Amino acid sequence: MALTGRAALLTLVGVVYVGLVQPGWAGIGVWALVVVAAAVADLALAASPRALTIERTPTGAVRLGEATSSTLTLTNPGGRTLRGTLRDAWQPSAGATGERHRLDLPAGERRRVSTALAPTRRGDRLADRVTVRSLGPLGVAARQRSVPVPGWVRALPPFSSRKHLPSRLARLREIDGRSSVNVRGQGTEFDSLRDYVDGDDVRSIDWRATARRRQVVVRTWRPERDRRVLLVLDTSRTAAGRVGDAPRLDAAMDAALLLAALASRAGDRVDLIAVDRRVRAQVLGAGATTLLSSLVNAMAPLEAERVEADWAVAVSAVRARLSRRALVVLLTPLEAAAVEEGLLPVLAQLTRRHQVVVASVADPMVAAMARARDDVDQVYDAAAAERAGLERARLTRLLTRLGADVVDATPDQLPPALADRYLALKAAGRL
Amino acid sequence: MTAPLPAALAAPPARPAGRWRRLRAPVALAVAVLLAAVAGLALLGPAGGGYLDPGSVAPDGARAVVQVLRTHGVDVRVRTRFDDVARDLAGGSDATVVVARTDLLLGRRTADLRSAVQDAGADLALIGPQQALLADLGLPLVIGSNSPESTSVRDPSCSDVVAARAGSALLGGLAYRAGPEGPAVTACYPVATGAGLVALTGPGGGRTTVLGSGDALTNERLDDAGDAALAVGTLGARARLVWWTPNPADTGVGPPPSLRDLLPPGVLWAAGQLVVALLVAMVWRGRRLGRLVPEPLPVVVRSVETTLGRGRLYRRARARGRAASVLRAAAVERIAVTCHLTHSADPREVAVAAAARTRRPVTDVTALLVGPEPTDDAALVTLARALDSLDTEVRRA
Repeated sequence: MALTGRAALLTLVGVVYVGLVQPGWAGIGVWALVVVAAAVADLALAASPRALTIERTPTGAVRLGEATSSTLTLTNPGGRTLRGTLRDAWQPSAGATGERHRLDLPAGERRRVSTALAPTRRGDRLADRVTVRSLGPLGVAARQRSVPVPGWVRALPPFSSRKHLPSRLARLREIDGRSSVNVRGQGTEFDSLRDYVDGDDVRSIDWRATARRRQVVVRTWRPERDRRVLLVLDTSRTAAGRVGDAPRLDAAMDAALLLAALASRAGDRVDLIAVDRRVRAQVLGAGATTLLSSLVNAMAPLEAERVEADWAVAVSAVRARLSRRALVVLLTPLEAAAVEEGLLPVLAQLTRRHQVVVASVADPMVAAMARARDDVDQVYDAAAAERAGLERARLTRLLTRLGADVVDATPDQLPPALADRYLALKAAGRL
Repeated sequence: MTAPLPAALAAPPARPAGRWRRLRAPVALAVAVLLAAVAGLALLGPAGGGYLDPGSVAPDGARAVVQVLRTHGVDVRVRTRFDDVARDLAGGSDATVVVARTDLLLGRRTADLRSAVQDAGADLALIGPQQALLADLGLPLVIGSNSPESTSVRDPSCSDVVAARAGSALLGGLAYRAGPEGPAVTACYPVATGAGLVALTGPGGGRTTVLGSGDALTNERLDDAGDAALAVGTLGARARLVWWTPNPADTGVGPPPSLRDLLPPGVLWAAGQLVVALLVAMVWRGRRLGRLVPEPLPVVVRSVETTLGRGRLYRRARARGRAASVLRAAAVERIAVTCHLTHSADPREVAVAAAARTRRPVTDVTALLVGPEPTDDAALVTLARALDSLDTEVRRA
């Protein structure tokens, strides 16, 4: 049950009645009876919200930053027109606007209402209850009921680094088989024979083919295809720290998505696992066409957990999923304690068989702090920032000594930097 | 060796004393406040009354004369409300009414007094009544001069028994004479324009005494000459004395109407209904359209927080040495990389390389990179800036 503004207004009119016509308890009582009678009549005559059937059309996924809507279908099987208000409640991060709808639903009819959603945070956002307030004919009182109508909207990682993809694809073509090179190297494979043109390296002349064709023929090479790339996303406590507006995890996802898009175009197979103390999500063996959607759907509900990463678990998970040499990309921040105690002892097991790249999200504020040296407080902050920088440099050396490549960049620069490192490895035939 | 123990070592037995020392200031403050309050009350308490207040012990009060009259067996009743005066007079006619503050006698209370005294046949004593009051009371007297005479000890010079017995007394103030066509009155203590004391037969047959000044009755002057005898003679002639200090608010009309009496009766009830309407409005606004929606939110900790925390630690510890060595180490590493040395190169080598690149004296650069710790904050800031500019120069060179 709910009262309306009209009930308050009716009671207010009673001020005139009590003041002029019947001062005293009797007057107040009489007017209270009037109001109560109106409310009771309204409640008795209002359409029952209990009878209303509400169905929700499933809402798909949406990239973070884009908008969608959720639609409810309302059917009124009762004998009375339902007038009133409906609220389709969502979690605040779902960014629901216009979640209140005015209802005028004649008996036996059906209506659709939709609520605009613009999620403000990555992940699955749930719908709460749908509340229906059914007004009586006088509009003094209303019957109200809340029913759970399950629904959710999935906010996918925005993949804002995809703007870097065209330039990296162009670079890829230069080193890929489509523009074959006649330099043989490690990790390249024989591509084709073609006629010699001026400027070709004489060392790449295939003499046997030349003898057969009586024309000078050179061999061309291309980097190997069908290599495997395994992205390892660290979802432990160190990924929870915020850099700018978003957690480090989101920046790591952005970098992983760009690399995955690039590598799948290069003909490599891309897999992903997200791990902290256990494997939280994985995408294995997805085809090139479905890879990105599988990845973003697997990433969407991931949140950084407040636990320390268990790199022994992670390394054994990686080894279990890889049978031959692969590129293993560890997306984890360079935090001294976590790296020294967790990652360093077990990294050698990976670097022995695989090419390992450690991609870390750096905080641009630390660099800014290291530069600001105007007063004594800033100098102490600068010292702390420099100390953090020395620490990261030391960790980078330790990791490099164990055979891993390190990419440490700010959230904006990490995706292109990681893609460039991938291209460099590919060009060098080190995959 | 009987050197006294340091206070800290003797602490355990001294503990109660320590507690006392802690409490000493608040207790002293509380006692001081209490004393000030008592002293203030003592000083202010008796000063409440005004001129010829029968309860006041101030010099111009009249408590002494009341006490004197009581020792003479007079039943003295101090009144401010006329209803009490009327009740005292109705109880027995053997009474004297004294109005010491005739300036406070206003409006219809004058007529009330006149009729009460008339009905009871009581004696009446007035001090310094104005002409209008005399007329209202029906006393055939006129004031000799509008300007009061000086008060001083004067001789009675008349045949009145009371005055004659009292002898010379402190009188003056307003001077009274018999009216032009009124009956004869007894005028005593003559002054230039009339008499300081006039006695006549009042409205109810009792004796009416009019004094020009009440100074003789004050605590301060009651001792002078025949003042006390005059007071007892004038006020103590009857068994009961009603000392009336009229209250100007006691007009006999009743209290003024309150706001509530002036409002039409419906307004209060309408206000009651307004409260009911407000309650309904609260119910209206207070009912939610569905519950609040909970959402688990991730922890919001900036990743830079640990670095900021370390900076704060340096600051609080004033760790200048530590900060300087970190800044130097970072600069050395950067410069080493710029100069194509290994990152673990000796700082002195790095200083030599940097000096060569920037054409600065080697000693200066060495002092900058491996010098002593800064001794104060200013030196630390200077060092930090110098390292920064050296780094920039090396990179540019």
